[in-house]
Amino acid sequence: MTAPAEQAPPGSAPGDAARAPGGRRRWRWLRSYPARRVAQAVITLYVVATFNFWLFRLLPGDPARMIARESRLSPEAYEQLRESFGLNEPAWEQYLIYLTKIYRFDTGISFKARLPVIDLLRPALYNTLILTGSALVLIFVFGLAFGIAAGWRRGTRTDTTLTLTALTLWSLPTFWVGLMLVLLFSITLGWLPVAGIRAVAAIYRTPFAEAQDVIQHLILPAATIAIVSVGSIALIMRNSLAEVADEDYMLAARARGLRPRTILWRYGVRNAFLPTFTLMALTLGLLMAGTIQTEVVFSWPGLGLLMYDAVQTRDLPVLEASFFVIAAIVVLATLLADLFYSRLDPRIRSS
Amino acid sequence: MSDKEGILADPISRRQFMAYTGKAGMAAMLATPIVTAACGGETASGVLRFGHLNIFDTPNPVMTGWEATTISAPDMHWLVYDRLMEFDADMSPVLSLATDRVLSNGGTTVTYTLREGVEFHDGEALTSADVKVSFELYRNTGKGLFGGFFEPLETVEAPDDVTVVLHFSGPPALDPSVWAPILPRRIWGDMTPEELYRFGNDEMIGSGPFKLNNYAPSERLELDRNSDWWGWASNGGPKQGALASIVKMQLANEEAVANSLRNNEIDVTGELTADIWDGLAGEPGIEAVEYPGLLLDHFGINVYEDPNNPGQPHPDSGGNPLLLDQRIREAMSWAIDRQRLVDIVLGGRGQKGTVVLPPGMGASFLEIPETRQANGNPDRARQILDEAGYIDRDGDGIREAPDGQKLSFQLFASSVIDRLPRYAELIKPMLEDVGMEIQGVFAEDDPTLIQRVFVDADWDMYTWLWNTPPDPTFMLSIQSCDQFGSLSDTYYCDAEYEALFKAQQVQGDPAERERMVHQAQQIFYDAFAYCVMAYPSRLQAYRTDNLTGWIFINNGVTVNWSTEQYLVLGEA
Repeated sequence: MTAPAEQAPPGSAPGDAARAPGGRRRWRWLRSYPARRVAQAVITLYVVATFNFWLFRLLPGDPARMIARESRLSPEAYEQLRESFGLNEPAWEQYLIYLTKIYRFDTGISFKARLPVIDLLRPALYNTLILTGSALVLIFVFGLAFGIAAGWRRGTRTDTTLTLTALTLWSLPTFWVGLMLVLLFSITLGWLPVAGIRAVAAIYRTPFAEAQDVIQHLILPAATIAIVSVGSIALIMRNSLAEVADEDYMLAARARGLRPRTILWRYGVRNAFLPTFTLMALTLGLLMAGTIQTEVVFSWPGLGLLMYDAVQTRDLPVLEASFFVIAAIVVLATLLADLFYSRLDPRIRSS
Repeated sequence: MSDKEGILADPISRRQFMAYTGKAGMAAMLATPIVTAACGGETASGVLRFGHLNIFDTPNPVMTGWEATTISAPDMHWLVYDRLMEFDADMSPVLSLATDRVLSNGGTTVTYTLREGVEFHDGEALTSADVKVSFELYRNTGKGLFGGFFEPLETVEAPDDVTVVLHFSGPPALDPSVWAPILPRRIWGDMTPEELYRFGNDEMIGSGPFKLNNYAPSERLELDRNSDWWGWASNGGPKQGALASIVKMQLANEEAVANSLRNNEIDVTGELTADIWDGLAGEPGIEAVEYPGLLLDHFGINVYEDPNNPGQPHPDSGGNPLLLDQRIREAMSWAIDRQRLVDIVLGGRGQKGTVVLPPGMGASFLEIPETRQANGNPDRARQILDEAGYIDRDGDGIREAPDGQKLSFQLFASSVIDRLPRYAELIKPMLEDVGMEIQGVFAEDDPTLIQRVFVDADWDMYTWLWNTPPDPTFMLSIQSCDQFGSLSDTYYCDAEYEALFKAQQVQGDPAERERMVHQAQQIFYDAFAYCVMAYPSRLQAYRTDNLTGWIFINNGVTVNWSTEQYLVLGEA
């Protein structure tokens, strides 16, 4: 028996021939669909971070004076500020420091509150997730229900009514819906609170009481988001189902004498769900970025309200971090949707 | 078209679908009142619930900067930290933490005796060393709305635990003790300037009547009663108030503030605009109140002149040199109908503007007789411009200077306060009517506008507002030559005005000081570097069913430079 090293061509190191095929196999996963999608996501985030860096530095105004939030600065204090915040370094060096900070998730200090940005961002993100998560459940339930009802009964009066309703809801301005709901349910009926996430100065005897209070505050903002967003899901589901309904396998199922309800759920909805699922994942990302209006109307202390406040006071560290977090959530949601979609539909992976 | 035309046989009939939908709707209708009727939390008693657009800027009193023009932050600082002196309900400075105040050396030395046995919220004793560190911090950093008041302060001595001696360059007209929260030396004493900038102060250890319970930025600030405070009646002090807590909730818009008050979710609002306030007036359980304010809305004109070359613009100025001609500025003042601005922008809730101090300042306010006010007379404006040689020679509706330069100006407005761009939109046609061109109304956010006006001097005209402390010095200081690149929003500098401003700062005789303050106002009025458009009223509203003891304080129910309201309110 000959040792592998003896078969190697002259000049090659012992063992190279044996390692090469195995090495290729070892790194083959890098060319797989998930790896490529993850790499794309990382590159997207890097581009967003870079864009963020230059965007905020291109804005008019002197950063040192913004940090001080005071024009009355002595030249010494002004220089000291520029030095301590690294503003005297060359732009490329500031950029490298910035990237390092992102890697460490060091978000800096809020110009306004003088607190670490992460301390402002964390509760705001949590509150926004509660709001968008609840809204997403409503959108999912009602969007699918309307979409299925309309799509399954394509061309009927039900379809027309539901489609028109979906289009109408889709075109309503968010702030108007919010104000109308407040007017009806808070001011006129007195059922639900106007604003905030908890009652001011409430005493909670049990955790359940606190949860109930939060739910009461959550109903109107979540309903507002759901009302203006449910239309898109309903329409996509309706169209997908209507297309699927014409497929041969649906006809075959019917010919086999299956019950209509079985045909709808097992063959219709399951196949029509794929594009709707993608839209749902994207909607989550878009909702995160698009709750500003709702949060402002209801004073919901989430990411949108934090950004609204930061824009008004030019609190750049808060804005930078918020933009990055939102971009990261959108990228992550899209990535997860793609990966999950590829599991559901193998054709995606092979293409 | 019939439902029978569905593409496949129905999994459910239309009747079933309608029945399901109806049941779901009924269930939702029934569930809503069940969810809402059982209140999640009981509302604590003796709590002042305050709805405000901006609850707080920073817990760091040293770093309270520009945002503090709303006095939202100092208002809360003053509840957590004691001060040597404070403003009472009449806006008069009175002793607070100090029990005695003695002037010597012609009023340039002020000796305070501190209350004995006062402790910070963490149980540590408050001594004169804490006062010394606090005053030195405010003086050395020169930060915030009150920085200017500490400028005449030269040295601070603490000869023993209860004595503090302040040495001023001249007798201060207003003792800066009314502004200065007393901070614990062990926390603040050794901070470098950089540490100071980065210090969030999220524990807020003070010695005042309330202590910090919870601060969620952009959401709420909760202060709890400090039962050990020396000032409460239960401890032998003068304050009868019985508030258990003050909760300030940040609401993102005035509509939400008003609706929260209607819905009994808050007890008192912050400042409201006239249309929202009008909607609250007369509602059951709500008292909508209009106070003379310490506010003024104006437009400032860039008059930055080269001191070495009078009549010529300063090399650093980006303003239109034509605005250095006082006749053009006077014509502008005549062209503007201030009553119209008050009626439209303020909904009639305010007074038309004249001088740089608002009428809420009391005797310090200089009343300009109606007949001597340069206001609302376009013919007079045209006459002034004609006589000055600014004539429309090419018939395009815009006047030109003799050298052909057009009277064409830029007008900026802060986009943060709604009414400021509205003023600008109304002023534009008024000025165009007398032959000036306004290139546009450029709305900018405050940081950009502050940089443009206060730092870069790169503007022609801009609309702005001031919320002044109840003392003339702050407002008069803005037009001081020393404020170039700082607070000056005209770059106006006049030797006579400057002398009067400085003299009134150290004038101990109230009558003489008042005369100086009046004269300074007249000089600045005649210079037409400001066009004071209006003095808005302070419009607020509060509920009458939860708390009692509301008192009238000039400049508002709350956030009015005095903390007295918080110290007298009690449970209904």
